[in-house]
Amino acid sequence: MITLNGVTKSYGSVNVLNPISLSIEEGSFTALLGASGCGKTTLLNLIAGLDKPTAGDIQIGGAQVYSSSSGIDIPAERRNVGFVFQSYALWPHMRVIDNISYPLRLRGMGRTQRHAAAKEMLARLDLTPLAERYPFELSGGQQQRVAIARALVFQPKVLLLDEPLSALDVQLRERARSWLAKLQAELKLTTVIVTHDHVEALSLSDRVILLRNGDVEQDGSASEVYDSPRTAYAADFVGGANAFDAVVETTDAAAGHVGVRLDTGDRLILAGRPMEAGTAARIAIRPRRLQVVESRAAALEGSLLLPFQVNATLFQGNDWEVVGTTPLGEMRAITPRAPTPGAPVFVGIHPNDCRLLLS
Amino acid sequence: MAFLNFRVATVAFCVALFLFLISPVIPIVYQAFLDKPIYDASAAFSLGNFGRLIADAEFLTATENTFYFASLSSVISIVLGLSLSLIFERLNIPLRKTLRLLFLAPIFISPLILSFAWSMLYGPGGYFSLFLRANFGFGLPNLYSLGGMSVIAGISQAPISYLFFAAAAANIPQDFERAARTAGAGPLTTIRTVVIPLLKPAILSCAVLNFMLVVDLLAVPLIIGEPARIQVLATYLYTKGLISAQVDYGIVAAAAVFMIIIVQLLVWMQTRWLGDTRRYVTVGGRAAKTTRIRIGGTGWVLTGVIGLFVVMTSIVPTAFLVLRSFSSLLSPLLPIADVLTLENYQVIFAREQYVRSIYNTLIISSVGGLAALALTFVAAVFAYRTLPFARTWIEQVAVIPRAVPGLVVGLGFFYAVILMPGGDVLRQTIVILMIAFTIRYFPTGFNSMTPAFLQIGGDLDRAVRVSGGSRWAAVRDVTFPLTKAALVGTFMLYFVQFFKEYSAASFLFSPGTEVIGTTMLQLNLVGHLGSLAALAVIQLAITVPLAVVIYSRG
Repeated sequence: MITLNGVTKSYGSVNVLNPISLSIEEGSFTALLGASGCGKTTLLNLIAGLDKPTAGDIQIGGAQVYSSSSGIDIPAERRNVGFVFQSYALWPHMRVIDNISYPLRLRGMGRTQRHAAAKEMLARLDLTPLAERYPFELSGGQQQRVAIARALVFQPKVLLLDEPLSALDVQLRERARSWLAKLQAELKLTTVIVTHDHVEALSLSDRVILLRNGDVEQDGSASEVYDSPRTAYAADFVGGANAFDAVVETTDAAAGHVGVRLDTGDRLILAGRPMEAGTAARIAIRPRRLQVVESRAAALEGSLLLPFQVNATLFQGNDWEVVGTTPLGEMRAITPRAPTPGAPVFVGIHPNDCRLLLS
Repeated sequence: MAFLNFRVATVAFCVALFLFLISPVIPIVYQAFLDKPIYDASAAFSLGNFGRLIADAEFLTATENTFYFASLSSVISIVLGLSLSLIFERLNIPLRKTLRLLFLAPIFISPLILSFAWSMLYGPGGYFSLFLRANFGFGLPNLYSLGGMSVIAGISQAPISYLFFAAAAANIPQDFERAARTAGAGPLTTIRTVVIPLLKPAILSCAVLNFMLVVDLLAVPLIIGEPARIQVLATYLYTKGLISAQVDYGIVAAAAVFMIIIVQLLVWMQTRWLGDTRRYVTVGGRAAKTTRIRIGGTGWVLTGVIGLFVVMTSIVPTAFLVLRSFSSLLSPLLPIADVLTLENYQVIFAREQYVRSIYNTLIISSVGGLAALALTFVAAVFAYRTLPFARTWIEQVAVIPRAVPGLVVGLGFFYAVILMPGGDVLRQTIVILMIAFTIRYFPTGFNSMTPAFLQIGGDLDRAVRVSGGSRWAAVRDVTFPLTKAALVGTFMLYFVQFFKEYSAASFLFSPGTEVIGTTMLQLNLVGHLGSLAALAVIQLAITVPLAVVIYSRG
């Protein structure tokens, strides 16, 4: 549906996006995830035509909308792309109904017709009672839904959302997230969302593209990106992770096992692609997988046990976050029970919970 | 205890600032209700002045003319300012920055000089008119008419409208326009359906602002209107209160009160019409870099049209003024080489009174400008760094002089010094001009100071306090250094404005306290156009470089 080919963007000598090529399936829900400044919003703007690539080709629905080589540059207004701005950008001088029917007016639709279409869209998004209001008379959540209605009303080929939930408070955000997921599932509309929140990305989309400094760090399904991070950055950015160094000792290609030796001299056998012996590797484990125990018996069978010098214990509502030092460096664990003050504490690392990273 | 004293000081400052800024109005209102001149001890309360004013046919004509003059010039100013702001701020045309600066030129040329130059060039006996008549057989429409006055006033106000709209347009988040683009609107449709509707309140405010400024404008009616005997309120006040052999204090004060009421009415209408302004206030939106729309061949056409406009309205008149200052007489019928001379400048530098007016203007602009700057800074500190009520109060008080025409400031001060013990001594010095100019331009200066205070935020100051510094230390070590750029800018603004000012001065100057503006008016009266041009060139040489620095930012 959307195809990018070698798309780059630079401002002067600063590269915001290094050559990026990817293609987004029709009807899919894709998240562009990354920290601020990674180029995710720029990428969205390039697709919408709000910004010009330095080089590369962009296709939407099979039609070339930008090509640096053949000089094609379809302006934003002719790309037929629904765009939801982070600020919502509802025109303050127009009522809700006017905001929503405006794109139809631009497409030459008659007054009664476009009002009927806008009303249908309002009804669909439960906004009917708000039709006559001005944007300043709406709550944040209502503004967000109006912005989405405005982006959908002209039946665009794709829907692009730039951090649509970030302006909402936490409780509202969770509700809006499930509402958005349901809406997309109903419409089956190709949707791309930009977000810096990995929970949002994982819960909403079938595909997560993690960007870092203008490069794709990892691209895969939500579960792939979470369960099998390729790099330490991916592991840390998506859900957080403790990472430590290791050296590959043995490889069993048939079984898909790799044996590693840690800095402490301990050995672990992990699932992983074959790697040459002697390669330096990094291993990641999620804070929630790290077992905080006071005796060997309490740890899972087969776990590696390391002494844990607890530095801070923070109550988080349901769980405890425990930060401390191990012989492998500082680690963070999320555990249902706080360790007894003063008692000797260990962390248990089970090989099945560890992921072998590329770097 | 310290807190109490501080509170007392804040209240005292607020009250003093109010009294200071309102001071020119009080004696005028007082005089308007007296049956005899203000200095006459036997004067008694009376409404007679207003009765005589309404019965005065001259006053009624002047009011009518003022209405047409102000309306027409406001329309011209807004149409020019709005279209040019959309062109300069939204389109990428060739030579954009240069054209923008040249378009702003009338602000720093001053309407007084512009009127002189226009009348010498485009007036019925002007150089260009004669040139056309001699070579093509037809002249220009008569400049000495309400229409001609409105064109000059409109063009000289247009930069103000432009700056107003440019600022308003900059406040519209780019997302609104980008949203229109993704919804399917082309660049021009976006401007028509999103940008202009959002500028609606700005257009209304700008109309009121223009109207107020034109009501206050003395130069154009005096130089362009007077030869055709077209009188407006400003010239009515000027002739009745100053030129006339028998000054009628009562009727002049009543007319001044009438002018104040008109301006107040305009301000009130403006707030009323706008209704709920939140409909226009734009919410949220991260500030993004403005991207200008590139246009191809049309860009050069626009550049050509705007270029021709600035050449005809500012560049040629200014160049002509310079040429005039170096010649004894300019006419298309005489070869230029025959008339070149330095005589005009020799006259200026030979007469003590002319030299003194240059000297006085320089002192008033620099020393007076610094004093005004100090007051502005202190007012801003009290407004934004003390107690919440001070902010509300000072922000409202600071705009009072905006609703008082410059002539009225001069007239009011003139009355005030008559009443004040020792006022006569004050009247002999240029201090009185500094005070009057400070009052007149305080709103402008305060406005240019506030953004800096709002930007740096009170937390930086509070951080000094919690670190153990006094209020004074916070101002000295944090506020002052951080607002330095704004201080420099505000000073330059005061300097240029004080340098150009003539209307408030015309009531207040006396032998020994002349300024360039009043001297130019006198030279015009006696018809010494060569020396007048020389003086104008001297003023331009000093103010234009500074003004270019101020207005080429942004």
